Amino acid sequence: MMPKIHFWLALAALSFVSLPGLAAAALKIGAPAPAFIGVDSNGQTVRLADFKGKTVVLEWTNDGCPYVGKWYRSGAMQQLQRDAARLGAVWLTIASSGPGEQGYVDAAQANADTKSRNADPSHVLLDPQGVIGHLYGAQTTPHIFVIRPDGNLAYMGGADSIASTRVEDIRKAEPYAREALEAVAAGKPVPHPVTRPYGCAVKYSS
Amino acid sequence: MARVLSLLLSFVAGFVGARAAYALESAPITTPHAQVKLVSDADSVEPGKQFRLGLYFELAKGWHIYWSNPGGAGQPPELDLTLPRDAKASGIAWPTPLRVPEGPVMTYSYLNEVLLAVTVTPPSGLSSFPITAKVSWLICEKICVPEEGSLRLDLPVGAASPSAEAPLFAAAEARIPRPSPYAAAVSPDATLLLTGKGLSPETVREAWFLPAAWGEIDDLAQQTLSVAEGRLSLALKPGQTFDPKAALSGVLVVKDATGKENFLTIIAPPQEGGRKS
Repeated sequence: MMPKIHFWLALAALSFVSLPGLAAAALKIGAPAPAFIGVDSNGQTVRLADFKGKTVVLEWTNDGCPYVGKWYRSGAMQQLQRDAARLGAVWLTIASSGPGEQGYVDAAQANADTKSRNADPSHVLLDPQGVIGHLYGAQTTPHIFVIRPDGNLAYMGGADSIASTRVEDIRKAEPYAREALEAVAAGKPVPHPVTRPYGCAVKYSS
Repeated sequence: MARVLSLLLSFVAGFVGARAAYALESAPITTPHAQVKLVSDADSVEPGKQFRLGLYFELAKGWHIYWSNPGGAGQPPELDLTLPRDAKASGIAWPTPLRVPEGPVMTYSYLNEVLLAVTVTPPSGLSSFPITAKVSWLICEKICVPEEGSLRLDLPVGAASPSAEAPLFAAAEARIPRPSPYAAAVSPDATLLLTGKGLSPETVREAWFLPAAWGEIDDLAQQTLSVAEGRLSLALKPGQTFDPKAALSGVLVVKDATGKENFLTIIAPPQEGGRKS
C-alpha cells in the first residue's frame, strides 16, 4: 500500500512543476487522461485512478461567470449531473479560480454553492493553484472533459454548441457534453469528441 | 442648475446640428462598461440606393468585446435588425481585431471603440425608414458581463448625403481585410505560404495570422515568420481541429517597414504535392 501512496504523492508533486502549455498539449482523444490527485470540499482526497472502471466527467466551474450561470440557472447542469449518476458515471466539479479571483471558493463556500444551486456532483475539487486545471489545459468555465472507464479521454470541449449566456439557447443547441456522456456510457464512439470550450476564461491565480 | 444647463446645451446643440450635416444616430444604450449607438453613413435613405448602418461601441478602459472568431473565450456581439419590408441588410463587415490575451487563452477582441457595419439595400418605393436593432454582447475585463438592449433610428427618405457619422465608417473601413493579392497555400504542418510580387523584407517586417474559426491553429503559439523576395512563410501550430486536407481561412496582418498595417483575407488551400522546401 505504501509504495502506491508514494507514487501518487510523487505524481502530485510533479504536476505542480509541470508547465501548463506542455501538459495541455499532451491531451489527446483516445489517449490516457492525465492522472491527478486533488482534495474535495469535504477534505477528502480524490484520485482519478480511484474511478477506474467508471465514466468520469470533469466540469470546470466559476459561479460568477455568466455562462456557468446559464447552465445552473436553467437547471440543465444539475440535470446532467443527475443523469450522469444514473448512468453510473462520476462527476467532478472543479474550481480552479485563484484566491481573490472571481469563482474562488474555499470548502465551505463550495458546499454552500452546491446546496444553493441544488447541484449533484460526486465531488467538488478545490484547485486554487490551478494544478489540475493546467494539467488538462482547462480554458473556460464551463469546460467539460469525459473520460472512458478504461481511463482514456473521450471528449473535451463545450457544454453544448451555442456560445451564449441565454438559457433558451440550451434547448436549441447540440448537446455535446450530454451526447458524449451517453455515448461513453453506452460504449459507443463520441460523435463530436473535440468542440470549442465556450465560456469565461478560467481565472487562474497569476 | 446642472439640469437646466444641460437642457439649454441640448437645445443649442439641436440648432447647430440642424445647420451642419444631419446627425444620424440613435439614442444610446448605456451600461457601466459600454455605450452603444446605431449610426448611419447617409443622412437620408434614397430609394434603391445602398447605405451603411453601424453599431458603434465605445468601451470602458480595459474592457473588450469579441471578433467573429472570439478565440479561446467569449462570443461575438449579436445584431438582430428589423428593417422596413423589402429592405435587405448584409452580414457584419468585421474590422480586424487585436490579439488580447485573457488568462489561459488568446482572444481576438476590440478595445476602446469599434464600428460593426452592415450594408443596407432599401427598396425602390419608400415613404419612411424606421429601424430597430436588438443587440447583445459579452464584454470582459477581468470578469465578463453579458449586456443587451434595443436601438431605434428613424431615417428620413430623400436625397442622401454623408451624415455627420460618415467618418466613423471611413475609420472602420481602414481595418476591414481586403482579398489577398498573393497565391496562398498551407503545408500539412500548418505553415502558411504566400508568394507573389510585392512580398519582401521591406514590405513585411511583422506578420500574424488570425484564424476565421476556432481550433484551426493554437492561438497562443508563437508564429514564426520568414520573408524573402516574393515569398512569405508563417509557421503556425496546428490547433485541435486543424485539417491538413482542408483550406485554412482567416486574416493576415502584415506590418511594413514604416509600421503601416495591411489586413488581408486569406483562403489557403492545402499545399500540392506535400511539403516543399
